Order: sequence, then structure tokens, then C-alpha cells
Amino acid sequence: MSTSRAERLTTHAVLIVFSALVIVPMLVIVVTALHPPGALTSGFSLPSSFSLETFRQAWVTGHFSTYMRSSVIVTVAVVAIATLLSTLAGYALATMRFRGAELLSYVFLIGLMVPFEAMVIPLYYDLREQGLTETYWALILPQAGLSLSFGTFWMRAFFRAVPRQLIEAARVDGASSWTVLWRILVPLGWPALSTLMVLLFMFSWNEFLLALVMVDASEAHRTAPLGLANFQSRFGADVPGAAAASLMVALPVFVLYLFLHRRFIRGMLGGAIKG
Amino acid sequence: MAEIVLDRVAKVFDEGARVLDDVSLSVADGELLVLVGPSGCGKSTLLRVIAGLEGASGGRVTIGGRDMTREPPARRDVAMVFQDYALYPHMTVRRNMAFAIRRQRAEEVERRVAAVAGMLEISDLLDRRPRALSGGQRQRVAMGRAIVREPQAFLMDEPLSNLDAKLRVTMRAELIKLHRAVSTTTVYVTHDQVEAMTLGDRVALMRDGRIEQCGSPRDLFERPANAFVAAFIGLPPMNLVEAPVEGERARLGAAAIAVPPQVRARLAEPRVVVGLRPSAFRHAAPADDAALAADVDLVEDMGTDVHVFFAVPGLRPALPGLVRAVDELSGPGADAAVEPSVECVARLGAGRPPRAGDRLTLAIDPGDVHFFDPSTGAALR
Repeated sequence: MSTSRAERLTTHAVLIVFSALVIVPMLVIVVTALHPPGALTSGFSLPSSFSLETFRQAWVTGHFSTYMRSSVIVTVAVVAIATLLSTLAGYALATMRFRGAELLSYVFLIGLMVPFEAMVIPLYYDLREQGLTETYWALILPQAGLSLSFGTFWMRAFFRAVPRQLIEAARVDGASSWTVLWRILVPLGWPALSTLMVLLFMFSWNEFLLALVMVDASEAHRTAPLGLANFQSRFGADVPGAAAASLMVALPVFVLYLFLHRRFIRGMLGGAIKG
Repeated sequence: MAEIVLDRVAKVFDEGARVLDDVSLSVADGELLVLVGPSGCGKSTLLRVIAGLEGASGGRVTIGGRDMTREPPARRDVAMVFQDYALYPHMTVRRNMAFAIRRQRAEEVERRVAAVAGMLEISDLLDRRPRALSGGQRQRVAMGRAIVREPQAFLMDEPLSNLDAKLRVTMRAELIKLHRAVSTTTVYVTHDQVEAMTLGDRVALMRDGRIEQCGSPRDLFERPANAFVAAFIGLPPMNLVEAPVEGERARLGAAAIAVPPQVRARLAEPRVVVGLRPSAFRHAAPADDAALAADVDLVEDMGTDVHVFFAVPGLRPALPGLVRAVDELSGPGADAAVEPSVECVARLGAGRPPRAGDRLTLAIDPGDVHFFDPSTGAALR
């Protein structure tokens, strides 16, 4: 198949425009963050002298040594719990035949459809009753639960795509359901699993509303995105500081993606089945 | 090693389709039984029921004297070779082969894998992943994975069908040798009648969830139980022609064939289906009386012999229902309602190959003629 020159040019033009839409604001933030602390900036302006001082100050005044620690604790726990449970639920829904399996998978989908804002207030009262607000559990449990909808849906789709014969071969070879999952499907599903983990990491790391409602009153439990918000209200005029703080909060997700993005793309199914 | 006995095994799927209809069959210890039939006949389902991958809706599956009907696949001690090999892509060949026996002592696993790899000549592939193997090599690994287990029985689901034609012939010969070497009870599923004829100690031909005939390949070829078996086994397929019976003879256009009295006695009306193997035709000598005028449509030169396709006007093909599922083989005559004629095929010596448009006079070898009931298709002899 060959594409005409005009078609190629159009495609490239569209791609360039959209890339610019993403890259330019990022660049503006990076350049802004390089201004000296407290500098007055508007739009895109190059600083007279580059300085990393803004980052240092933002880290200290934004309490990031505490907030980042909370974010790590919450995010790691959410990713671990949600990945494990999604894998188990997705496996059952994809490969086992049991009464109500179809219905159950729709129930899981509901979690994807109900907007989070609709449940955060009742959730707050529930958790307060249990004495869980202002603890890490108030962030971990709801996020793990909510991630389960997407995670189960994701893993179910992956397990369904695995050639059935592989599972059957393992079963005839004497493997239990448990062995099939851990020895065959999980190693095979590493691309799907790691993608899921990165997505969950991103959702959880960037979560703002839940943290604001559940733990804003407790300095020790605040997460990094909350720190960002406080930044804005407390140091209203410090645009370079906010930019530097944003970059620091975004950095872990960026680094994770940088290291893992090849994994996303590489499939491991080649050669399983006649190729 | 074990005998496999199926006693009135039935399988009805949730949607109500009856895929296996009270199938009874026994496979002797060490025997290689081939299940053959057109697609959708239930042969793969039967194999999966034996493996335990599908539950039986009725009947009993006994392996090595133990009732396995309700046991999961893991307990049945059978090894299966799949059409698409189903090798574990993330494991090396060595680990693929060792997967089922990994609980045994490490030295024992190593010894068995090495022995089987040697037998299959894949020792130098042990550290590769499946994706780095050719089709034929994957096939061997799949075989090796089954043999390493030293199971009670092998179940093979069209294991050669993904190989190219030449490799298939080689692997077929190797399979025969392999079975001779390990002599493990084997049930082998294929849709290819050549594979069935060459591999099987016995062949069970299935249609619509039932076994039409089970016997030695020679049995099925020489004494087909009905028109379906006759049409399925043999290549090119047997010609099946409905012919009027006049007196003691069935009339095939200009030719006439003697119908034995015991066959005539079983006919409800003066009609019979005559089955003629392509090899039953030869160029007529002047003395032959059972000669047929044949207008050649198409000639396939096979080198050692030629397949000659010709139409015989004035005759009707046997009811398609008798040979249904192979009727794509019976040629364009099957639906010619206006002027009945039958497309036949003859296998003739390569000596003087005819050309399309030629008119031949063909004699029919009276010793190589089969008769079938025109309404039920049952063999009459």
C-alpha cells in the first residue's frame, strides 16, 4: 500500500500540531521553573539567569519530604493490592465458567461508569465512622477498590486473548488453576501486567480529590498533589515555585514511563502458536 | 500404558447441540487409533472428552481400568499434542518439556528430557524459546513434551495439519516409528484420510457425532459399511452412481454390471447405488461387454498415473445425503437436475494419457464393485 505525498504531509502536519499542543505547555513549565524564586512571570519568558534555587525552595516550603513519602506509601500499596486482586478476578472471569460470571463482570464495569465525585462524600462519612479518615487506609482502600474495576476489566481482556490451548495444555500436564495462573499466564502477561501497574501508579499518584477530602487535616498524611494545591493558596504569587513543584510531582511517573514504555509495546506471545 | 474404553459417551453443549451421540469405542493397550471425519463430526470433541477438557453429558470414560468420567484432566495421566502445539512461549524447550514432570528429582527430570530430546533429535534446541523454532521443530518439541511424561495414553489433535505437505509426510513416517518405539496407547484425530490410512492400527470414521465404522484401514477401504465411508476413504473418492436394476444387472449407461442375488434380494425397488473405485476402470479391450463411453472433462496427470474426470449422461448421482459432508468431492453432477449426468473419476495408467474432449471406452472390473442401498446408504454384499 502506498500513501500519496499529500496524504503524508497532512498526516505529519496534524501530528506536529498535536505534539506541539502537548510539548509547548511542558516547555513553558520547565522554563518557568528555572526562574529565580518569586519572580513575576507571565506566559513564556526566558529568565535572565537560570537557577535551580527554585526547586530547592519549593521542596522545603512545599513539605515534599513528608508529602512524597505519603504518596509513595499510598501508591505502592494501591498498586500492589489492586494488581493482585485484578489479576485474580480477571483470571476467574476470563477462564472459569461459573454461575453469574457474565453478570459479575458487568458489576465490575459499573465502577468504571459511576463518577468518583458522586461517591466521595458518602465515602467520607463511612470512613469517618470507621475512624479511618486521616489515615493512609482512607486513601489506600477506596483507590484500590476503584482501581479494581479497571484492573479486572484489563486483566480479563488479556487472559481472554491468551490462546485457550495454552491453558488446556497446562491443565492436561497436571497443572492446577493456581499453577496455570502463576506459572503460565502471569509470566506471559508481564506486558499487560506492567502496563496496568504503571496506569494504576499514575491514577493513584495523581489522585487529588480523595486526598483533599480524607487527609487534608493531617499534615503527616498529605500526599504530594495536595502539597501542590497548598502551594498555590499559600504562595499565591510564586509561579516559578508552583512550576518547580509540579515538575517534581510529575517526575516519578515520567521516570517510570521512560523505563517501562518499551515493555508496553513488546509482546511475548510470539511463537506460542503457529506463527 | 492403558486401554481406553468409551461407553455410550454423549456430549450436548449448552446451546443444545448434540455433538456426540452415544459413542462406544475401545482402544487397546498400545494401539494407535485414528479418529477421522469431516469437520464438525465430533472427533475433536471426543478427544477432549477423553482428555477431560470437556465433561461428558452421558456415558463413561475408562482409562487403564479406572473410571475417569468425572476426573479433571490432571488426574487422567494422559498427554495431549495440540494442533497449534501450545508450547509455553516464555519457557525454553527444556522447561517446556520438563513442565509436567517438574516435581520429580532434578536429575531424573534432566535424564528424561535428555533422553527424549535425543530420540527426537532436538538436543541442540533445548535452550531455545519456541519463537526461535521452525514449525517442524515446534512440532517435535510438542511431541517431546508429551513423551517425557511417560503417560498412560497420548491424545493427538491434528498434530501435523500446520506443517507443509512435504514435512507432513516426513513427520507421519516418524510418528509411525515413534509409536513403534514407545508403543503407548494413542488416539489420533485428523480430517485427512491419508493420515488415517497410513497411521492407524485401526480407524474410526465419524459423522454427526457417531462412529460410522471402526476397523483396520484395509477394512474401511475394502468393506465400507456404507456409502459415506466408501466416499470418505480413498483418493480420488469412490464414484457413487444410482443405477436402475434390470433383471440381474445394474445398468450404467451403455454398460451393465451383474448384481449378485443376495444384493438383489435386499433391494426394495429396482434401484441400487453402485460404488466404483477410480481404480476399477481400465481402457476397454474389444472383448469387454461392461464398457462405458466416457467424454473426458479433465485430466490430472499425477506422474505415475492419471486421474480422468468424465461425465456419464443418463445416470443420477447417489442421494447427496448418503455421502453428505463429502459432497464437495462428488463433483458438479450433484445438483444437475435438468439433464441428469454423473461426474466420475477414473485412475488410469500413465501410458497413453487422454486429453480433455477425448471419448474413451472404459471397462469396469467386476470384482471391484460395491453396492449400497439407495435410501439408507448401507452396504449390500
